[in-house]
Amino acid sequence: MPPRKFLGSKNLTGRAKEHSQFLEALKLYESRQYKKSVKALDAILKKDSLNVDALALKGLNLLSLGEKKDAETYVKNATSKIQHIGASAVCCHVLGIYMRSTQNYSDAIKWFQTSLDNGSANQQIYRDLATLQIQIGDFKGALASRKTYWESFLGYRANWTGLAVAQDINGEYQQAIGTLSQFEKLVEGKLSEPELYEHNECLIYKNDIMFRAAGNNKDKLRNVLNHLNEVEKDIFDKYGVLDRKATIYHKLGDSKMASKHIRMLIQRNPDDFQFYKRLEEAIGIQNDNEKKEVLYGNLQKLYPRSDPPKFIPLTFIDDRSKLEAKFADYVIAQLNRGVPATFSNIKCLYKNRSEFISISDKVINEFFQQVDPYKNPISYVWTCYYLAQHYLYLKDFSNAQSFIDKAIESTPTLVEFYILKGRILKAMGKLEEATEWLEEGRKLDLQDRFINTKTVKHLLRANNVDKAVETVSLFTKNDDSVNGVRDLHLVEASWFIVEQAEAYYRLYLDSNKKLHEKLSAVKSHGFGEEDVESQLKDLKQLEWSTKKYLGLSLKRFQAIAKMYRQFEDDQLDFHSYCMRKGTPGAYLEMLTWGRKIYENPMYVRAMKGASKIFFQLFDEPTESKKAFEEAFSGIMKENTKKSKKVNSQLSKHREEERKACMASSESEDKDVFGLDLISSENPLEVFWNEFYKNYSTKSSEEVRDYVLEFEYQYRTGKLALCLAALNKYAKYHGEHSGFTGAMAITLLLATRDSEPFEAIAQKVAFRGCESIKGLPTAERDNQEFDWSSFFTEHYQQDLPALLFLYKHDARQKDAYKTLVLNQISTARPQHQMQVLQYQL
Amino acid sequence: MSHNIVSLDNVYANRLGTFIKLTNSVLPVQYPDSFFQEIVHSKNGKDTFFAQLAFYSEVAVGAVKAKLIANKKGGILPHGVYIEILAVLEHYSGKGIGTKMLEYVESEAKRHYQHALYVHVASDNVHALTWYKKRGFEQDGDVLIGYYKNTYGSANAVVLKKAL
Repeated sequence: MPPRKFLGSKNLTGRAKEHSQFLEALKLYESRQYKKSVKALDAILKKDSLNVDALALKGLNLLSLGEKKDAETYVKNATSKIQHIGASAVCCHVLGIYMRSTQNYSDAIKWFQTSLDNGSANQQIYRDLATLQIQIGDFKGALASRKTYWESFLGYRANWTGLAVAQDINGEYQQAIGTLSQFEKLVEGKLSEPELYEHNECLIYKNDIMFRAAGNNKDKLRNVLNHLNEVEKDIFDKYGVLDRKATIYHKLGDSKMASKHIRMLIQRNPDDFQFYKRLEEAIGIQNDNEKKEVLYGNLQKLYPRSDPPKFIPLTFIDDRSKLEAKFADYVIAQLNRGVPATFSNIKCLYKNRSEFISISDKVINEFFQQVDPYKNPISYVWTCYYLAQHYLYLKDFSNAQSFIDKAIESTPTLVEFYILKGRILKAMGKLEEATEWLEEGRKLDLQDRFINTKTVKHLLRANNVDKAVETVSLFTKNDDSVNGVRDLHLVEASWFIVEQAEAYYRLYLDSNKKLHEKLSAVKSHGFGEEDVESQLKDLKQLEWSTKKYLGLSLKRFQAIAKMYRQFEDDQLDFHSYCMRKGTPGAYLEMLTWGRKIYENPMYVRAMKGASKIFFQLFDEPTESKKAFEEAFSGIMKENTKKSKKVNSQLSKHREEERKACMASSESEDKDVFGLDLISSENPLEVFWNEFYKNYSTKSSEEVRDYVLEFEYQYRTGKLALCLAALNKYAKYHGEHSGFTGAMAITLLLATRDSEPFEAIAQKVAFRGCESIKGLPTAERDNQEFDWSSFFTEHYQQDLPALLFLYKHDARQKDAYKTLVLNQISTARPQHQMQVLQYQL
Repeated sequence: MSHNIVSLDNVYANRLGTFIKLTNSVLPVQYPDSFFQEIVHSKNGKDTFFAQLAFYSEVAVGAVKAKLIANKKGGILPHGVYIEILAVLEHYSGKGIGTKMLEYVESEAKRHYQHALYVHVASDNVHALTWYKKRGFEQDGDVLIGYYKNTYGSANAVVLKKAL
């Protein structure tokens, strides 16, 4: 954070001498001499311990020195005193900077605002204010601040652009266009060479706004086109101009000009699928297969080396024999060239047009029959590779295996084959064996990062965390740590962190199960004949692993959430940076991206993973937890002497484990294993703060996960909100979808008297349930009623919904279990195993 | 892509695995790990090896390793360049890959002022025997009985020699 200039110091509190001392301290702060500044402030505080200016500035100084805790104390002290006596503009400004530096943006805005209200003449504050307001989504406030700032500093393009952007995001298109035009006039003929690029960006931006404002109004669209023609010579992005023109002509209904421009685009990049679709639409033949066939026939001649003209006909031709011939042309040409991605290229056809599965089966098998591996080994092996993927898709594992084995036997030096072999084995549920093949492939070329990464992923899926870390560390910077875990956190390698989190969670489930089995065995039968010491050691080790794995899992999930908060925060600098650099277009893209940050699949995956743990921690009855602890410590007490010996043996490894698991430096994070995290008093609150708050307040309504919302609110006891979640889910996913039913049943059963929810909440929820069509609310208290059959009769049976019911409805667990087992009977063995091992 | 569909490249430490994989896939003899390691980490720099990987359309399909046997007093082996391994995957044979590797060894031999190439071939490996003889090799001495130790094939070998 660069120090700011402070103005308006005339309002300072205190006497003249202190005043000059304070100014001295302020100067020292600005020149980053924080320690000296603190010294000067201490002199003031010695005489007058209530001097809020000094307190606030000292806080800011301490923060810059990295003493966050002390800084907070001083700032709190200052703010609490200000309540009674008011504060100078400088003091408020200082506090605003402090709040901003501690990411407390809404408070920062408050203080900056107060500073201005209290007479600060420092206009720079408006710029900082605007950036903060945009950061928290207060666009209206941002516009006002931008405007004031712009009025004070008209001489900079950045301020004009900033104002235009603020007007644009507030929907004031005409004003935004006006602002940009005004500036264009001001600089006309005065632009130097380096400014031309910036100027071009602003011209495009203006055209963008005009285009958006025009909608489907033809007159306005013509205006946009005229403007574009006018400025075309100054715009660098010729491609963008063509694209825009094509769109406008299409919107204007001028199919000739539209198709002309799209053809120019195709000529520039004949491999971009979207242009072909747009060409169809421009000519108006998107529903006329015959004409489309002719069109693509011609395009194929024009662009013989491009993929789209050959591929697109496969998506619409109906005649089977023709389709077969086209498909053969397309695929066999690629196989002959040995294109590894041939199957990936046509996989979407398998999904969208299932007739391709049999076509492909026939065509490629026939082709395979006549490929001579001696004459053309390259197309032979890639055809094997293709067929292996084809059979994997069909879940025909033995054929898939036999083809990939053929490929490996012929050419054992191609790493793709080992990856596919691993994938096939993984799908069969043979996770360990899969890792061995990946490892075999990895050894072929140690500097191939791709196979290294794949191997690591397979190792994590097989719960072999140690080996995974060892392998991944070959490609990381391991300067001051024993392995790459820390570096992977630093470079935000979320794929690894989330996979590791999930692996830890599975390891937790495994060792928790073993721990309870072992404990109950010892409790009922004693230690028996075997060596007591080694059994004690097993028990202790299991107890430790259980804790450790759970903590680490949560810790890793949390690291992902932290990253995303950082992403959001990283936008702050760009609110001013992009204006200075003159890149409003890219800036607006960033804002759009920023709004969707917490909808990112990776974030959602980490959040859901964490939710499982938090919910489980919340659900776990205190009695059973206590009973376990008593039993465990009871056994340890009975064998105090041996137990102590075992302890000392185990603690030797603890330090090594600690080093291997560290995700950041010791000083930044003392809770390496996440043990504090899992022993928190209020898991739901931690979940809210760390994960759910950002998601539930910042994700858009259409994509939000209402099942998670239901689960969360169910545990906070807010049944009315559960009802809302259920209704929203039904709205977006249908009344008969599995989860709609599962949540409805769960909610209804929660309104029974025996359930520990507030009576009022239950009443509201029950009333809501009554309005759900087909839900037999009258059966709520009927102990005999078969809810599982009701569910299967009325709702789609999907696995997650069944598992949801399995977890929530204790009374009918067995019935749901049967349904789950039925459901997974046709799934891949890998999925079956996962459900059996970790869900039931 | 290179203009030539067959190309050679050095054996770098990271790709030693490919070399080992090729050797083990093609040849029946099991070599110790040190035999491969010496290509990239030659012990005290004493021995000189010529090793290459051969690529067909960018895919590694062949491997060659030869050893320079300098003129030393009392050495059992005759001096020259001794081909220890020359292997091409079965499906890629007959495409000039082996020839290219042999040419490489020959040129290295000439560069080091050597006048003979030697190779051991299992006495039952007719394919290899004809292949070498076609390229100017001649049998040198009698059949060595029990030459190969860890092999699936014949343990007997003949020495072939090509004068440069």
